[in-house]
Amino acid sequence: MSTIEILGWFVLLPLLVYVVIMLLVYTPSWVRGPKYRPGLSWWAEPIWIGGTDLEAAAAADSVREGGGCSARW
Amino acid sequence: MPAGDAFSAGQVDAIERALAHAHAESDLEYSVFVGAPDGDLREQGRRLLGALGGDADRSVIVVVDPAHRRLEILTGTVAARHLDDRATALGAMSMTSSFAAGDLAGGIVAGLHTLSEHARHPRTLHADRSE
Repeated sequence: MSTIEILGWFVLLPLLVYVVIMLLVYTPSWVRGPKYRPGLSWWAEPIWIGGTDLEAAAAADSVREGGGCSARW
Repeated sequence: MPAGDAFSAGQVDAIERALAHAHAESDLEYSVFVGAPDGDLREQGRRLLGALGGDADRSVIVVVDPAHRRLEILTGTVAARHLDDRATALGAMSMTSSFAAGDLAGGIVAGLHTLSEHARHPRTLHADRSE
């Protein structure tokens, strides 16, 4: 067995298996995106989906709501 | 949660679709704020309503504070006629049950569906009759 064959079987092949297993483990969470863990700190930037500009909201006068509710989890 | 975006592009897409579906179903304007504002969360919601200008009356705003595990749903004065406090509480319940399991985006989508289902405009006999 040549040196290249030994390197292939004992170094490159295990490395390849390692990379494939790593991809199989991490790909689902990469696809799903960041995971929120209740109770841990939240550092993400504020986001307002379906709204207008957040900077405008910071300067806007508050408007009395017609109703709604509060909840905790 | 590392610094950066709260949701992946796919999650934002799913929420935007739920917002559009809710609007189509109930003819109200929905939006979702996710962040950790300083101070009162409800006051933050009122400022967001104020920023909507003329649309504020017909708007429903969901304000989620994941850091303090708080949720506020605010309805504008006109929206409140179609979506009473009991209906918003139902929407909040379907959201918080998913939030507690760590699924923010899924909870928002489910909650928006619940809200829009309960905000359907009731058919009025005299207006819906063809004769």
